[in-house]
Amino acid sequence: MSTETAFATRSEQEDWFPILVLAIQEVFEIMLGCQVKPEALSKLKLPHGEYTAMVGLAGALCGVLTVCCNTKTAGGIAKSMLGDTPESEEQVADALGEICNMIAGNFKNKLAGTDERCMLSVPSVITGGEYVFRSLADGTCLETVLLFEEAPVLVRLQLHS
Amino acid sequence: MYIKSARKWRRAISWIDRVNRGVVKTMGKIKALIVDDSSVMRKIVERSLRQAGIELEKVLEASNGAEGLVVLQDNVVDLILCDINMPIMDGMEFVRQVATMEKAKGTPIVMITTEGSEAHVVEALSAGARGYIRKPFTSEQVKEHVIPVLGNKS
Repeated sequence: MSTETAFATRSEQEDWFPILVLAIQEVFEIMLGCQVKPEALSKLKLPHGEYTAMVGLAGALCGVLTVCCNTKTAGGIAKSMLGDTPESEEQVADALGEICNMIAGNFKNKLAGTDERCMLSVPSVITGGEYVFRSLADGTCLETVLLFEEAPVLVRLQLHS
Repeated sequence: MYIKSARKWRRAISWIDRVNRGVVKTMGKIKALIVDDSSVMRKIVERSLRQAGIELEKVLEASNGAEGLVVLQDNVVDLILCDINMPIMDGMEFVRQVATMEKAKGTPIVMITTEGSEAHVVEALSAGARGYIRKPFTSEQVKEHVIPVLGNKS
């Protein structure tokens, strides 16, 4: 890894967990009008990934951020964002993709010195649960589960070492 | 301006709010173009404009910069709100192109984007944008950034 991209060590990246949580909380509070807090992973049944939104990060910070939840929760998120029932499955995917995009953007904007040297991809959304997601990012993995309308939403940031 | 006390600070905010309300009252209904690849985000931006007290005569939409330019060839708008990261033509290129269009030159453009770095803000403003809002945003932030540029409508 070049000096330019050697932005943070693995232990520093592990310290970013509270920043990621704050970035998520702000997005949910501002865009969905609800307060969320991280729940203990062991207490929850992890969401079956019926909707998985992902945004790639490249540059000083390299990896992928994913937001994963079931169909009902994705619909609830879209409804809260729109203030109305979503018209289509496409609109639900669009809403979840935007949430993922805003979490990634808000997170990188909070890391001093990263925002200008890190780019985000356009969000992608997978629907359907019959897949295995493997990221080639082999470094730190920060993940948290929060409850939205009592259903779990998994947010995972996988970074390249 | 350096404001020492909380009371003076509140007075200043209340003054800005009164000025903004005055601008909203006098500017009448406007035509806006919202350029964003997310249809959900376009709806949210429209809702935020309405919540900010801006009366909308017509809202035109485009899902990328190239589509936005096509819309501007046939329509004159009072305000453009634009994302940066979009496929086909991004927001920065769109702003640069609008500056060269006789019909649209001078139309206030406010960027609404997740890209929050100072470099992006400087690039957008020097390309011709008049305001910059970071996602996630509240309708108060929309009001704070959009109303002043509508007040200076050229």
